[in-house]
Amino acid sequence: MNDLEQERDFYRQQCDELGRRLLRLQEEQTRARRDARRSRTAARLIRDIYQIADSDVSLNQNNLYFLQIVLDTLSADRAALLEYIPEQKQFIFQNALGFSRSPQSTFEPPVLPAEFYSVNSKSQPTPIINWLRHLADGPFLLWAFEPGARLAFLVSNDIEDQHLHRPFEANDREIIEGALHVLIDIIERKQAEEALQRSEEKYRLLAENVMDVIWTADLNFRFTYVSPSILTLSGYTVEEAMEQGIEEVLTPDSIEIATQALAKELERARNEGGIDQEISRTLELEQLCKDGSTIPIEVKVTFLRDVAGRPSGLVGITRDITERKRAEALIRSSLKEKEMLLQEIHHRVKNNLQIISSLLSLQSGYTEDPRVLASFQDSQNRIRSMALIHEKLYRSENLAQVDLAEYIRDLVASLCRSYQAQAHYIELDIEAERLFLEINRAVPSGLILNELISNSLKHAFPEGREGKIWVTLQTTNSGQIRMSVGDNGVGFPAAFDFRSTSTLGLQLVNTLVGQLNGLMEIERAPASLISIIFSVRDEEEKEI
Amino acid sequence: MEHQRNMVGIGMSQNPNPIQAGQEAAGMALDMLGSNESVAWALLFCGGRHVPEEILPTLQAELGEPEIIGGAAVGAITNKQLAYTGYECAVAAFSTSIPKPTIIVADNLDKGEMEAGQHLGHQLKNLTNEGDTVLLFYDSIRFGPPPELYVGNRLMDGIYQGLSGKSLKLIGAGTVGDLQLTRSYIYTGCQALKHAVVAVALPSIWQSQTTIMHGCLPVSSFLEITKIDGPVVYEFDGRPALQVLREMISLEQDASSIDNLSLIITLGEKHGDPFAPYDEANYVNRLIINSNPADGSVTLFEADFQVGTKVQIMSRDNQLMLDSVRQRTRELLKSMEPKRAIFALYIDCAGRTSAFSGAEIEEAAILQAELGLEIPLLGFYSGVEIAPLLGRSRPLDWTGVLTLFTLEAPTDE
Repeated sequence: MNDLEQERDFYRQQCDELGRRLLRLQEEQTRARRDARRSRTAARLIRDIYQIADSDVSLNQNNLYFLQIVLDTLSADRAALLEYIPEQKQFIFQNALGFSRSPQSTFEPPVLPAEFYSVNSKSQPTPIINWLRHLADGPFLLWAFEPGARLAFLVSNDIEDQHLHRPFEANDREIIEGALHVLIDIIERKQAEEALQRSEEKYRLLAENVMDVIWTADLNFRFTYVSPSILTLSGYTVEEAMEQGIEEVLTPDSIEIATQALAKELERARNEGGIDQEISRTLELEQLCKDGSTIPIEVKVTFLRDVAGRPSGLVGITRDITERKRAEALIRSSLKEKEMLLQEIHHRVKNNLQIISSLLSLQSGYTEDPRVLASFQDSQNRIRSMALIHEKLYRSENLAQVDLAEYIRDLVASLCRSYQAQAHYIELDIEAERLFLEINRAVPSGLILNELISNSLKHAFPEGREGKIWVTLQTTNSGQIRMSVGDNGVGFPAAFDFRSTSTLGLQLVNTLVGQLNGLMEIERAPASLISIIFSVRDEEEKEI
Repeated sequence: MEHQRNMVGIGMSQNPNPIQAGQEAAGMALDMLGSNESVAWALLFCGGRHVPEEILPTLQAELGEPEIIGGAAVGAITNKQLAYTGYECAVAAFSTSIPKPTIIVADNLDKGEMEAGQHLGHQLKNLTNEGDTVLLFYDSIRFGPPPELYVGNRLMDGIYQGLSGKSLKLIGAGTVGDLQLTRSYIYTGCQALKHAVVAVALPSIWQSQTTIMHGCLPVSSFLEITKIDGPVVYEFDGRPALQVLREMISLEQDASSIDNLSLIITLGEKHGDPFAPYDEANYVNRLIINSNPADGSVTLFEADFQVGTKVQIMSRDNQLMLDSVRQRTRELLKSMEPKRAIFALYIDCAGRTSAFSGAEIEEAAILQAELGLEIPLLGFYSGVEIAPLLGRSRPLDWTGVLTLFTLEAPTDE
């Protein structure tokens, strides 16, 4: 080789070396531009996908838009979204474009797929790659899987670089995963929006279909929402109601009540550092209607709060209580009528008893036998004691209970008049606690007292002896009534046994104590004292 | 100045629905032509994702049953649109007010490119005048994948043989429907055919001027092909071709790198003085479409190289590509003044798309900007471009071929 040939070879080598460097630079530049192009594609794809977030479409339509954007941007043949069902270890086609298979087709992978695959002509035909190709209905594909969202995304081509003009590769991960994650964001947002919308629709439907008026207002009573039932309640439309101030809604008295209640609650909020969210205030007010009339309303109102928990407004339910008020008045009227009837009955019973007593008195005028006369007197006293009960009842407030202390005083006075001669020298001491008994216990109690006081008046102080009779009425520690009649007279006969007495009066006492389910105690010294202990109500009634 | 009426209407749609795509493209073309014009014939190029038999009847019905010539394309270009999604449908509708071309079809490419070329050449010889412009579109793909391509050079040799010395200006393309070279077809008037070639012999009143945009720079010394079989190159300077190329582009031996060959380099044959300063017009570039590590060979898009052909490894220079489009379009427009072109046809190598080449911008967008809206433009992305270079029309790779058409009486020579 001569010098010239050596020089030629040298320059050839130099030329080729420079060429190699140039090619390397060109290749690096091309690769950088392809990477930039891929990033631009990813950015464009994500931008376009984000735009569907604002579209007012169903989730299904949303997903189809997503797939169409992917196909347009990547110029791919097919794209699909699949849902993963972990329980069945299967993927189900949810939305697909470009596929001929039916929707909801299910596929079970040989193993759980990874989060990303790029499958091109150089990919090894592993079981999962084969499964993906079968799933994708094409040999070249990109796969992204988000197990947390149970969502997979698939893009496939029949020809490797037909439209992207390059095979799918690992660097495409940013594109396909970016798109999937944006979609998941959108799906979650749409689901939240739909749930909120369903909730709002449900409550709005409820608000717009109930008879009660549901409203919200600021703290100055300016309405921010009024349900359509305001028209039925007041005659005003929603639009008219929204423009009304409180002075156009409530009567002056009601405004006073409402503002005071609000002020009181706000004051409590300031003093106690908060308002009990659970408590609503119920006010009975009067609503002004469009036709100039007023109707009674019941308003349940609760505070709305801002994020700091401070009262920021009011939410309330207004109910027309005209019918309720009418019903209440009717009940009151009916009750009054019944009271009058009952009063009349007691009055008539008392009159009838007095007539009987008068008949006995007239009858006694036809005999002079002291024993018969005494019997007549006893009977008259017994009847009077019962008449006195009915008199007390019809004069009482509730026509059901008798003030026993007052009854005792009147009974004693009555008996003293009856036994005027014997009572002349006797001091009467009544110490009665104020107790009320119903008629079924007041009548036996009255008869018992009548017998015991009569007995003392007739027998304890013979031949004009002076002495003292006392009547006490008190509540025991166990809540029972202790009713006692005592005297410091001659005392009971030595052989006296009140359980086996032959006198009518004491037999009557025994029977009546039994009716009261009571006990009878007798003390002989230092004075004679008979006490009856019984319950205010019958035990059977209590159980009922 | 009175506004000149359009004699060519252009329309383009990217609608995935073939019927709607045809209707939209035809509607735009007819709007541009105006209501008084009828369509005599049309050029139609459709993306590979469309089914050709579905679009053609729609276009014919919409345009009034004209003959429709064209074929598959990777994408399409008009004055306002540019896309290569596979759903393009681009049409140029020519008014009946301008002379109609003669359509010649050879549907026997599969019997041999030379034979089909000779058949066409014979007919063209009889039907054309000297210097006429002929549009030529052929189906690039014999079968595949893997793709086996029709050799454009053989076809051109056959045509020139059939012409028997008659000089015609042949401009055209080998069509492909996608860059993976899986599908292609030709519209031959009223049908879409495989293995076909169609020639559109424009009447002499149609005059044309063509410029070729390049974009490759030589980056190696000359390499002599020492073993080749058709488009398959086995050796340079007695060494395995693939090994020589790998060393040049510093690629590792792993399989994943091999495909990058076609994205980075072409092989260029320099015509004329081999030691003359660089002029892109002196180079014929060949795309490397495949490599075979088993025997160390590479496959070219064309089969015009022979044993002893000296080639250089060419770098696909994006900046050169963009500059070339801008400069050569301006030069062509300037050379046309004051005549006004009625139609512009741009046949653009699909490899020049931004997505494929990695160019920062679309070189076709530069063409759109330079050309403006006055001259109706129909362009499409092809596999092979055919244009006059170095004394005769040749199949070219990695070029953009822009032709402007005017209507004028031929000058007597």
